[in-house]
Amino acid sequence: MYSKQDRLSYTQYSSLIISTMIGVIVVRLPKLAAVSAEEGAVYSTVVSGVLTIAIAVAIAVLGKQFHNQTIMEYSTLILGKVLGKLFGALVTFYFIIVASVILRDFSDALKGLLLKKTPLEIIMISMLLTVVYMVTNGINSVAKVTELFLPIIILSLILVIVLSGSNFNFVNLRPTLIPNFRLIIKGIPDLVIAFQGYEIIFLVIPFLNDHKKVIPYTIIGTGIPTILYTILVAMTIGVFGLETTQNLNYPTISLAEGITFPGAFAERFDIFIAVLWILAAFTTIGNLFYMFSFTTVRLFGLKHYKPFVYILAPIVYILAILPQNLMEIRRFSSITGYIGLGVSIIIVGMLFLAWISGGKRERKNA
Amino acid sequence: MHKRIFVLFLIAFCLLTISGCWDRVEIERNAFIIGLGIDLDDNDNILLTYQIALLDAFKGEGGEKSKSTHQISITGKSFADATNSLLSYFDSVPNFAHCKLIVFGEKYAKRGIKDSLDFLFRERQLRKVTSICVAQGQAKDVLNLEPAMGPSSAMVIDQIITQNSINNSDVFPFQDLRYLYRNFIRGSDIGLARVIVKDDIAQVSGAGVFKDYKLVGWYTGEEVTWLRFILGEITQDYHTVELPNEAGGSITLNAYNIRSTAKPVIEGDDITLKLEINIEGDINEIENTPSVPLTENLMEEWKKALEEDIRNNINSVFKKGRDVYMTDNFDINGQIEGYYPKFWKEHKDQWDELFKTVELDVDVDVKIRRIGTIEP
Repeated sequence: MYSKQDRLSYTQYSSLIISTMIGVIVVRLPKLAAVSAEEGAVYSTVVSGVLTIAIAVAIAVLGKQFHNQTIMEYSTLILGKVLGKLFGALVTFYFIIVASVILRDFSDALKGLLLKKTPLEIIMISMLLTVVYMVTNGINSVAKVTELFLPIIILSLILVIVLSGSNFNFVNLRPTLIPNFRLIIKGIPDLVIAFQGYEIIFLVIPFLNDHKKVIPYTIIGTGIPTILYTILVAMTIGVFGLETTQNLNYPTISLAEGITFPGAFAERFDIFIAVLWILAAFTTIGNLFYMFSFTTVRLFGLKHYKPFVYILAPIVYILAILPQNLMEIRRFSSITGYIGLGVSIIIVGMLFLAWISGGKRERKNA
Repeated sequence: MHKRIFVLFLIAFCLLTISGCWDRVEIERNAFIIGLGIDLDDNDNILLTYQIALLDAFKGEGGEKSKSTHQISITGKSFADATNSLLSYFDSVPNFAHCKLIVFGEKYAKRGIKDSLDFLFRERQLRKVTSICVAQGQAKDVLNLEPAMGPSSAMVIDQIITQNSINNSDVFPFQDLRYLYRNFIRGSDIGLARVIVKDDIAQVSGAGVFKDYKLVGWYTGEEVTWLRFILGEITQDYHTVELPNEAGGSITLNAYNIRSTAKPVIEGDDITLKLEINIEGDINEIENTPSVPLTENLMEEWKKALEEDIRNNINSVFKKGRDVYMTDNFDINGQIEGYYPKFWKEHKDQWDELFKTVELDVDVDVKIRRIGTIEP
């Protein structure tokens, strides 16, 4: 179905998942956890991560069963023509919203953090153009770019976490270590949003060289962000305390600000992190935009998506420029989160349906 | 062919849009503010003193020492307003990114520092590791000093607070914006390092005590040492104790390894802070070298005297903080929040009352290891 050069390796598969998950949210994640789960922040992050892994595995199981097709095709197989198309439309809608929300979120944060006088539109357009350029070259170049950037992104996150160790005070973290189930559950809806991005599994499985080890690599792909996020949340609360973390707008950047090397031979680690965070945002937006253009084309039953990329980019731009202020962006992104959860739940439902009537179809498609 | 035209278009577009950098400020057009002093002037308006680095002096080339900073004081309605009016004095753009120190003047601190904190927290350029101190006198005078060593008074004081405080226990350490912000959010009281200007030299010693973000009193350098024992922020110290002449007169202990851990214990209504202090050190000064040879008894006597003295000093500083200033500078609320989060949530609002009932239980263990190169 797909040409040889479009094939992906397992490493590329995992790095696609990780780089889509670790994105803009990373600079705000500790705040999000501290605000939504309060004392349950650390546990809630773990639970949301595990939940994400479970959903991702469910999607991967489904994808493995229909390993020649993407979600756009097998949803019609399972749900029937009309419902399947509707579901496809929902997925497409979801991707476009997520891509625009993240684009806007990124540009706003970047404007606030680094580029005060640069017009928002310019930040967005230049980001979008770069993304378009990457996406037009197909899944392979997307995968290669993520594979290239991912080690840098992960390394920079680990550096922030490790180097903040000297500022860590265990007393600050203590209140969050007493399990409180009410608070842990309370944090999940908001925190699951932070883990979004695993949806890329919907689409990339058919591109894989081989499908035998999809499940373990899915777990690796979703597990690494879970571990990193949990440690990041714990570290931030350990450094700042819970109440302060709730009040910082960019806790991860603040965490990096606090890093000083002995003798002050290197300072201003925050700028370094902010720059690397742009890479993380770029891969996330790129992957999402790829998914959006891919699903749109499939929704209309077309084969080649490349020409459509140019048409779809302005749509993302217009949607992204719509919110007027910080609060609107927040509302926008939490709505997105719930759509994402809805899509994921439908997927799990579909998995069961497929499970029931699965055997026959698999033989037919094999 | 179409593709080529598109790529050309893309390149042209990118070149035109991306290369035009809105936020570019040439390095020599930046006025790097390295110190900020906040005072009240005679009419009770905010008087801000900016210490601005003269970049030529920082180039690191040899030659005679020229002036490396320039100070300017401006009265303004708000911080942003005053900072912006710097633009009418210089041809460069004020930049807080390398700000090392914020000094509060005594008069301003007594009126309350709350109204300035918001600007300091919100300003993106100010790093959270910027040191903060309070001047006994005018903040302006501190920044106007020409330091004998080091390029600027703000940088020297910052170094003292962040680095020298490790070896000198009279300096109240680790007060940066982060510390202030954490306490501000929690509503805790704070202490800030004190800077004294005397005979054209600034000394960092002691601490200012803030209750409700208003300066209410001072701790001396000596008292800060004991305060740091309670905070557990001390690793080494010199300590002198008076003994009878036959036991050596006044002896000095070089305590090179101090471990101090505080843990609150709540039993019923009683809150006790249990302080466990382990000190390891050498005797390095004896006033009256005793004629008797060194015996185990003498060592024991020294040890007892040191332990007793340290315990009494810590207790008296604690009593001063609890009964005189009624200010929790000992981070006891932070400890309780950590160890008893539930209790803290319920009693957060009554902390001022509860703090008055807190008892301190000090347990000191001094181990004298060596006595230097001569027998007593």
